[in-house]
Amino acid sequence: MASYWRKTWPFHLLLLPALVLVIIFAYIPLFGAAIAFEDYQPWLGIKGSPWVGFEHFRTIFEYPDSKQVIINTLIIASLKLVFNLVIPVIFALLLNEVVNTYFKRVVQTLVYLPHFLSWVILGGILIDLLSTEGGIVNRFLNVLGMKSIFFLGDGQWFRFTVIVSDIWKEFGFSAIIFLATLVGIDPSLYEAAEIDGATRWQQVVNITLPLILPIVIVVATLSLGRVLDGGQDQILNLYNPLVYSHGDILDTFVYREGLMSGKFSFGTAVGLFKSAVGFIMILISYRLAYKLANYRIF
Amino acid sequence: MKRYVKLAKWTTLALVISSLPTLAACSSDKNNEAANNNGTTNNQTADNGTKSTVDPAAMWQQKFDPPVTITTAVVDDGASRGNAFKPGESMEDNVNTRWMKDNMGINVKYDFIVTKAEDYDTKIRLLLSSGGKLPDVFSAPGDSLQNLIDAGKVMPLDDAIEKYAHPEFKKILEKFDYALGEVKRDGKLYGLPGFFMGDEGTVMWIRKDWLDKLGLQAPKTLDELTNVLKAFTENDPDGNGKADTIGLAVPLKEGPWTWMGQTDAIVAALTDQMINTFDIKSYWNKGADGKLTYGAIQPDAKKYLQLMKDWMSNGYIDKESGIMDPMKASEAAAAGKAGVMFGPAWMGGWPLGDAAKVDPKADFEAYNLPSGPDGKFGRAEKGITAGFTMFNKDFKGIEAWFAYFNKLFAKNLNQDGDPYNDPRFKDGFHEGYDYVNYNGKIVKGDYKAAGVPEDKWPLKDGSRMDMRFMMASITGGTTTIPYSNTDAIKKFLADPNAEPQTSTEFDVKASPARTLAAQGVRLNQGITEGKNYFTGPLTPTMKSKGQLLTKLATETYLKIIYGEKPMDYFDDFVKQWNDNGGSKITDEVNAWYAESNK
Repeated sequence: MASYWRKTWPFHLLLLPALVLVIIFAYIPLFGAAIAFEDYQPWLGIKGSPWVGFEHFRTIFEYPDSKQVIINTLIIASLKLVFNLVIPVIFALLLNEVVNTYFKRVVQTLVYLPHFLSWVILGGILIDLLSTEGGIVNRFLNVLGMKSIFFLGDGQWFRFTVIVSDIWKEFGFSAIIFLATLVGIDPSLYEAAEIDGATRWQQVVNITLPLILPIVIVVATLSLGRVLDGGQDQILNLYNPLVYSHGDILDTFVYREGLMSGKFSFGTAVGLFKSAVGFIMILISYRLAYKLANYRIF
Repeated sequence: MKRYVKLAKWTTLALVISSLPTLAACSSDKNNEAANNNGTTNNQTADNGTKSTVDPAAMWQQKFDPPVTITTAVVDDGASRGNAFKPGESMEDNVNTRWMKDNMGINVKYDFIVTKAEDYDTKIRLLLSSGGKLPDVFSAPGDSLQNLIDAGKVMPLDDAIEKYAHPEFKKILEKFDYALGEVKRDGKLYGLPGFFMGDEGTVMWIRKDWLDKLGLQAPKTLDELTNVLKAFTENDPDGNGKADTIGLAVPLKEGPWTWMGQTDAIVAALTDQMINTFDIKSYWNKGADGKLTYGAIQPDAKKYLQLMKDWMSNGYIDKESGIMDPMKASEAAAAGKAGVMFGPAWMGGWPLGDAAKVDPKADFEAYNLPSGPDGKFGRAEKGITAGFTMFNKDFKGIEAWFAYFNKLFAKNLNQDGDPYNDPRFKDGFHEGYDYVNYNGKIVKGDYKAAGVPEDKWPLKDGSRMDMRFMMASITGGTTTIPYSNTDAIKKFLADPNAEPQTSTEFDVKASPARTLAAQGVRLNQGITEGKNYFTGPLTPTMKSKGQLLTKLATETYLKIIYGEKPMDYFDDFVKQWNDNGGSKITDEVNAWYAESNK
C-alpha cells in the first residue's frame, strides 16, 4: 500500500483540483435543490422559507399546459435522440469509405462547424432561410413546383424543423467519436475478410458494425440521461405563439414560469423532476448495455 | 434594443443621483405650513425643534454641518458612459462630489460599483437574503423591489416627501400617482420614481413617396387605411413589377402591443378599451361601473381581431408577422417591403430612416392616427416610470438627499424665483466641464467652432462631457418631468432656428427634423392616452397563473388572426381565461384598486 502511494501520489495530486471543483460546483449546489420543496422567498433565505413538501411537483402535473408540454418534450427529445445517434453513425460509416483523405478532411470540417455556432445566431439565420417570402428553402420548393411551407409557424412543420435543424447542427460533431472508433479497428480483420472473399458490404455488417456497437451504446446511454432535454436554446430562439401547442417543452415552460414570473421554487422543482427522470433512464440503459453488449464502466 | 441600453444607463444614473442627503431646510418649511393653517397647530408637536439656518427664500444655500455621508451603489462598466469624467476623476471622486462636499456638506460613498446590471441585481438580492447592510440610497431592480418592501428593509417616504421635497416634485408625484402602485404598500410610498418623458406614444408612419406614386391621400379613417394597405399590397408601389410589397409591418410574436410597431392605435379606433396580451399587468381598463377590467378579454377585442384577420387573409399584413418581433418587423419596413408601420416618434430616424439606404426616394412620414367607424381614435400611454429609488430604513440623512435632488430638479424645472434653484448652476453645472466661459460667452459644445482655445476645452479631444453620470451620483433617477418637452417641441416646430434656453430645449433641438415633426403630429391630434390602471405589484394569482394566461391570450389572438380558429373561439378563450385564474386575478386587481384609491 505504502509503495502504491509512493508511486502514484503525483497522479492523485493532479486529480485534486478537479475533485475540488466538482465538490464546489456540483455537490454543494445540490443543497439549493431544497427550495423545490419550499415556498422560497429570497429575503428569508433557504433556511427561513416555509416548507411546502411536494406542492410544486403536484403543480407540474395539475397545470393545464403540463400534459401538452411533457408530450411535446418526449416527442421532440426522443426523435432527436434517435436521429442524433443513427445519422452520425451512418455518416461516419460513409465517410470512412472515402479514400481521398483531402476530401474526407474538408467534408468533416464543414459538417462539424455548425456545432460551434450558438442557437441565437443560427436561430436568426434559420428564420431568414425558412421565410415563406424569399427564404432560400421555400424558393427552392417553389422552383420544384411546390407550395411554400411556413416552417416556423405551422405546428407539425415546426417539430420537423426543430429536429432537422438540430441534427444538421450536431451530426458532424457527434460523428467524430465514431470516426475515431473506426480508425481504431484492426486493419488485419478487413484483410482477412477480403482474403475470405467478403464484399465491402459484408465487411461493414460483420466487422465494422459489431466493433463500433459498444461505443454506440455508450453514447446512447449517456444521451438517455438527457431524455427530457428538448433543447431550450434552440426552441426559445425559434418558437412563437403560433406553435406553442407543438413546440412548448419543459425547458421553455420553466423559463417562462420560473424566470419570467419569478417562481424560483417551481422552476427548481421541474429541474429536479427532469434530473430524476434522467437518472432513472441512465440506470435502466446502463443495465441494458451491460446485458446486451456486455459493456460496463465500473 | 439600443434604446433599452440607453434607458438602462439612464436608470442606473438616476439611481445613483438619488442617494444624496438633504439639507436642513425642512423645519422652516414646517413652520411656514403651520403658519398657513393656524387652525391646526397641534401637529407642530412633531417638530424636533431644530431651527433651520437657511432662509426659506433661498433653499439652495442649504449646507449640512456636521457633514452627512450618503452611501449608494451603481452599475458602471466604465465603457458605456463615454466622456463622463476627466482623466484622474472617477465616479467616487470628481468635481461634483467635491463640490457637494464643500458646498453642501454631503459626502458620497459607494458601497459597491459593479460593471453589469445582473451583478447589481445579484448583489442586492444577496444583501437582502444575507441580512447585509443595504446602501443608504439605491435603485431597486424590479424583482427585488417587492421583496425589499415585504422584508421591511426600506423606508416609507411620505413624511420625508412632505417635509423636504420640492413643492413641484410633490405635485408631480400626486399627478402621476397612478403610476406608482408598485412601490406603494398600505397607502405608503416606498420608492421615488424616475420618470420617463412619456413622449413615445404611437404615431402612424407611412411611405409618402408610395402614397404620391399611387395618387393616394393619407388615410384619416380605418377604412381609408384599409384602402391604402390594399393599394400598397396590390398596386406595386415600388414599381419593380413584382408583387413583393405588403401594407402593414407589424410584429405579432408578443401580441398586439409592444415597444415598436404596436397596434394600440387600431384598438383605440375601435373601442374605448385598450388591449395587451404581452403582460398580465397591463392593460387594465376602467369599465363603466368604475371597476377595472382586463382589456384582452373584452368583447370589443373581436372588432380588432376581425380587422386584423381580414388584413391577414388579404395579405395586407406579412404572413410571417406571427413569428416577428419588433426588430424583425421594422426590418421589413426599412427594406422597402412594407409601407405602413405604427410606432414612436423616433422611428423616423431609426429604423425607418434606413429605408432610404435601399431606395433613396423612400420617405416615411408621420401622420395622425386613423379614426374608427364611431370617430374614435387614440393610443395607449407608454409606461412613465423608469425604476424606483429606495432608501435604507436606517438612513438618517434623507433631508440632505432631498437638498441635492431638489437642486437638480429645480434646474431642470427652470422656474423664476424658485428658492431651490441654485444660482451657481445658472450657466451649467461646473465651469470647464459642461460649459466654458469664453470672453463672457457661455459655450456648451462645439468649442472649436466657437473659437475656444484648445487649452480651455473640457476634454483634450474637444468632445462634450456627459454630465449625467457625475450629477446622478446619488439621485439614482433622472429628474425628468413627464411630458415636459411639449413646449420645447412646439417652440422648435414653430421656429426651427430658435435658440434653446433650457436643457430640455437643448435636447429637443438636437433631435432630427423628422422626429421633431413626428412629435408635432403626436401632440397636435389632441389624444388622451389610454392609461393602464393597474400599477400594483403582481398579485398572488398573477404570480402563479400570469404566464399561463399571457400565453393563452397571445396564442388565441394569433390563431384567430391567422384564421386557424373561428371568431367564436374568442368566447371559449374568455371562459378559459376566467376559469384558469383570470376571474380571481380580476378580483385581486379590483381589491388593490379599491385599496389604493381610498
